[in-house]
Amino acid sequence: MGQHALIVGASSGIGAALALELALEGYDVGLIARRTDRLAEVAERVRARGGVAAYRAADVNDAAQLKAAIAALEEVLGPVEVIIANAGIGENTDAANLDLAHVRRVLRTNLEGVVLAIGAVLPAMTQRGHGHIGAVTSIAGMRPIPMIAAYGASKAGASAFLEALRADLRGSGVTVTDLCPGYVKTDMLKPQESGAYPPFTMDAGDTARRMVRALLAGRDSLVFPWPLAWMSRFAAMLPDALIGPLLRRLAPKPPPALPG
Amino acid sequence: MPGHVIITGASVGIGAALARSLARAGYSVGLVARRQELLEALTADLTRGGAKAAWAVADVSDEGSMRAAFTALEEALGPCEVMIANAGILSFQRPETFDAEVAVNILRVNVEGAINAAGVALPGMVARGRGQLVVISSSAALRALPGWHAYAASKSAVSSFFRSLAFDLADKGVSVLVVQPGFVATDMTANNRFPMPGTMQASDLAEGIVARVQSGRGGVMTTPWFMGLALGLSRLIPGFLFDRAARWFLRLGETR
Repeated sequence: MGQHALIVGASSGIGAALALELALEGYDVGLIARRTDRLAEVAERVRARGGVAAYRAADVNDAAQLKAAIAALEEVLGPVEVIIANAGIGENTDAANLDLAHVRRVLRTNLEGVVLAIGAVLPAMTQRGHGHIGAVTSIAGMRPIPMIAAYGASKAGASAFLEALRADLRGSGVTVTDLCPGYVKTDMLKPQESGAYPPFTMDAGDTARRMVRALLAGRDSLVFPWPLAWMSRFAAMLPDALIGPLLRRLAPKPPPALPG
Repeated sequence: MPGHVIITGASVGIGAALARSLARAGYSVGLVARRQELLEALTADLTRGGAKAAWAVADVSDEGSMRAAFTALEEALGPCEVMIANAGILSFQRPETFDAEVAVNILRVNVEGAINAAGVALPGMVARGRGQLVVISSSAALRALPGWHAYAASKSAVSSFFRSLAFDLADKGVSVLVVQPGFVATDMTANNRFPMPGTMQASDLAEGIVARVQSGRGGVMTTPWFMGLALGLSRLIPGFLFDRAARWFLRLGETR
């Protein structure tokens, strides 16, 4: 029997692809998301390839529900050896008519969700002294840009959380990897009106393969694809006063697609 | 004439220092915090000094509570021209005893609380085509240190959110100032046993912020400057070295 790899936000997109990829690596995969029917489908696909999968429905916004689901999966598949906090939603922020309910939705799913999922397995994993922790963040968190204040903040926060955790756990046997993609072709990424996807859009399967490799190798972070990664690193060093006018000139209207 | 400034987390620390500095500069100050007796005392103090001041009790992490306080203060002191989202909490955790509830509470107060304050003030500012949002973030937004998980996450998120907002509000007449202080001598840092280089007095920091608010300029204000430089340059150091050094540094105090 393989070790337990838990994916939170596993019903579609990158999460479903991560499940297949981890199963290929020999892990028994625990799947958590809100939609039971979608989870059952993903589990079926894992089993069809000879893998082991179990699932529980839970909302990452609900701490008690999430904790119970993780505990239930641990009973079936054993203690979590690998966790990927992937659950996330993408919504644009209209700053001039700021909707606080929208901000809460995005922050609680993308940031609190990561903290709750990782927090649920962290003490036991630390005490065992081995394991891999990962969360799917986004290049959108690397430098603030217009129109996605809440999404960018949630991803920047998640990356910072991982950074602090990594600083604590380095050398302990538990690794912490920031999985930070650019645009990935999933339900979250709507094509532009022309039907085209943003530049450097990646396929979910490819994305998941590279993420799993980085995670199991215990790398600090995987920021990819490299052209977007370097553009973001460079843009992060430039002051906002310079970036503002530049972005206004480049910004696509309607609002931008969300990376990650 | 300086207008009405609302400060959240105004009962102690940087918030109280800001209230005093702003009152001295002629602003009317609306004070928001959880503890009524502290707000009453500060308001009385400011009023005795000749300033216009009012208070309202609220938990910033609760949108309804923040909105009610905001409405009451606007009734008392007029339209809010400057909103200073200052309320914040801090605690450190170890991974082996990590409590997600503690972490979530930090996020709710520091991130949602700051955004709630901005959110209730924005409609009026946008309608008037004039206003200033100020958020007290932290230098911790620049680099997450061991044990600071939720605090670093909260401050990164808050800086990111408001810097993004600044772009969107530029043509609405609303400026956004993100303050990222280093260590400040307040109740919040009183229990830190590690060395705190460059520690500022809250009153000095407040004077600096008020001068910036008076200028009307938004942007990012990291102070002291060398904290921003050091944390920025820390990214050039390999992680395995930096993390170990940071851990050693933060544990210095524990043996005392």
